[in-house]
Amino acid sequence: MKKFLAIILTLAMALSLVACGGDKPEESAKPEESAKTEESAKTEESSGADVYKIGVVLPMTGGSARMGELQYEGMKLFAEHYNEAIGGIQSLGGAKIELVLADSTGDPATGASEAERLINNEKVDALAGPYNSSVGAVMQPIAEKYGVPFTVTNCTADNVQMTEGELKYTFRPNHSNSSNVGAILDCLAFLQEKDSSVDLSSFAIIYENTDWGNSCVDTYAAALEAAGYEMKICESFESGSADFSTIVNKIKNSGAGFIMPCMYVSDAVLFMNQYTEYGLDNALIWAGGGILTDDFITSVGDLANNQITLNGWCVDTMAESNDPELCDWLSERCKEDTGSELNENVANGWIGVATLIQAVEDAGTKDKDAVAAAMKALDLGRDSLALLLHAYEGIKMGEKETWDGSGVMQNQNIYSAGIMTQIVDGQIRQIYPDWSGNPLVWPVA
Amino acid sequence: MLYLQTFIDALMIGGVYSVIAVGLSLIFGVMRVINWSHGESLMVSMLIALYMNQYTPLDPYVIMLIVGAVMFVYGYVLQSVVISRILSRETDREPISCLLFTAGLGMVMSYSVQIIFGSKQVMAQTKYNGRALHMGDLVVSLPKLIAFIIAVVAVAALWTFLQKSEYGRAIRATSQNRSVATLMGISEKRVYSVSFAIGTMLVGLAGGMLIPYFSVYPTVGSVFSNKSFIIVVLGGKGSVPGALLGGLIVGLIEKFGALFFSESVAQIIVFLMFIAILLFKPTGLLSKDKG
Repeated sequence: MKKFLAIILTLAMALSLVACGGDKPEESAKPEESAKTEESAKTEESSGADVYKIGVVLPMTGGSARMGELQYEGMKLFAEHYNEAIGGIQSLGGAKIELVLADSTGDPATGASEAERLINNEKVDALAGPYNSSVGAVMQPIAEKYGVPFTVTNCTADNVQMTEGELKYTFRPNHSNSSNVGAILDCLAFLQEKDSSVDLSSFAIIYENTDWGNSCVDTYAAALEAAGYEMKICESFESGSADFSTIVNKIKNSGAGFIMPCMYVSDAVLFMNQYTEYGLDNALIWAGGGILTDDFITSVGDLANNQITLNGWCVDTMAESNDPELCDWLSERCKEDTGSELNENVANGWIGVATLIQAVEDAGTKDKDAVAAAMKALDLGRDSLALLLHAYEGIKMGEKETWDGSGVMQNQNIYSAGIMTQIVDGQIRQIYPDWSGNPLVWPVA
Repeated sequence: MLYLQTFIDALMIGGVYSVIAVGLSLIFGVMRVINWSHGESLMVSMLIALYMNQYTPLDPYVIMLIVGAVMFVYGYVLQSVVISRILSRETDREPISCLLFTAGLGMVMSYSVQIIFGSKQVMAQTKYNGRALHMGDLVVSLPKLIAFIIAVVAVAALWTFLQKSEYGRAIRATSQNRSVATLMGISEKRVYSVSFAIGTMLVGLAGGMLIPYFSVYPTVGSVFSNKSFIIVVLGGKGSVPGALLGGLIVGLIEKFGALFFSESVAQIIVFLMFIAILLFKPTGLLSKDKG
């Protein structure tokens, strides 16, 4: 009997370890091409050819697992493309990119210990990830302490790029919350101008009690108030909520003009349904998060239509891409691997690793200080592979003030900025900055 | 009006919590086994219901009954084939190896689902989604009202079964003293299997009734299982009415806590209450157990 129990427990522990800390490719890779790439990467490694190891920390389980999975897809597809089509890192003699995945579960403590494990045990050359701002905030000092280049993906909270001293190794190519403020304020003014009968003079903000959620309040809510919008409700909740009825009722009785939810997928779906059940008709201006995944659109069906959200990327952003053929390949592969269309999470995974690899190419060495210095010196234009998906003017790491000038983010892509999008017929479309053929539906019925 | 609305919302969500917790309470009460895979059983139930909803024309509440039956069989087989073997080697009143086993089983279930189905977070599309009854200014969510009614009926039926039926008496006798019950001719193993099966069946019903308003994903069980443990401790370990009362109390604290403070503060209050119960009334509100 003890033997039987031991087998069961060992199996349970082994499976959990595989899921927690193992390489995701073996677990999730379905397409043959992906398997081939991993196989070739391993062959190269075993035959003695050089590899550039990137330790990827992402939430692969827990409430934000879907976003982690999609972000990893963007990184994986970049590595696959670079290893196969370009032949690896040219300045390192064709060294292949190898991603070593670790599961943060979305928990800062787990993310921190996984980052340390990747650095000390896996001996990674750089770090990438980790989607959740709260995890990014604890990984930043670890990267700085060990002197490991760290390309931050998502983690839009301003504080991830802020420290008292000099930030040497941590870089964020995608946008921050502060760089989204302009898009939100301009878009609201644009919507108000388009139809003045909709009350947008006051708002309610609902945010999950995490670094990202709190940062949304510290930036968006504060910026809105500073711009003259009256904040009627500011409510926090714990991620993975079982019920939003009280918050919905508070909003209903508050007379708020519009609502800004800051939440991930399952919470966003639950909130959207309860918003409908309780007959609310306030405009919804989402702060991104879970609404940007296909899962939201699939789960709430028609209710998703016409929802307006802050975003970092959408299919329209790709219209000016420097390589439409590659975009099509990415789009097909993403659908095949994850069942999802390309979205902000995939795009931010791509830009994060692509920016890091460009710095490695420039440095011509795996030396961590040299790569960090090359990262700091980057000045990429629209034709860069890193900007395949994003419509940023370029990538240049520098200092950027927070929205109110109260602090300075270091090593932040100074060209990054948020956009406003709307779900139109199940597709996330850009509505701001204005676009030819803008599909805006306003006011939302 | 806002208070009345909050009270209704509290009852609705409290009912849902109760039906999830009562299975856990029953299993602990009879077998003294803390089923750590309870949340994962809920997740699997929701997943089965989700796919049945997707691929069959059946009404979600008919699906709920089917899922309940499936989970009954699952619970019966799990207990009679696996847990009973572990339990038979235990001499402790509250077997630690079963706790470890169910914890491991929960991880296996959660990660297996993640590997097989991915980390998608999907909600079923049913005719009940987003529907509510509007009575003046009062709103009652239709899927939650149905869930509440099912919860009350299920708990009442279970209580009646345990109190009035011959087999219910056998279950209660075994929960009080398994050695004496065995001497009275009761098959301990069968009682345990039926009790465990009823516990998982209730979780199956809960999983089925959750899908019209809650997303399914590999770790969804933890949203409810943590609260279930609190409810079981609050109501009294093994007490069926206690689980109903505990669920309603947690619902009331959460909703009024959120009304007066915030959702986050409400969760703190729930956990403070949990600590207070452990300190001052460890047997729970309705348990006859002397601890």
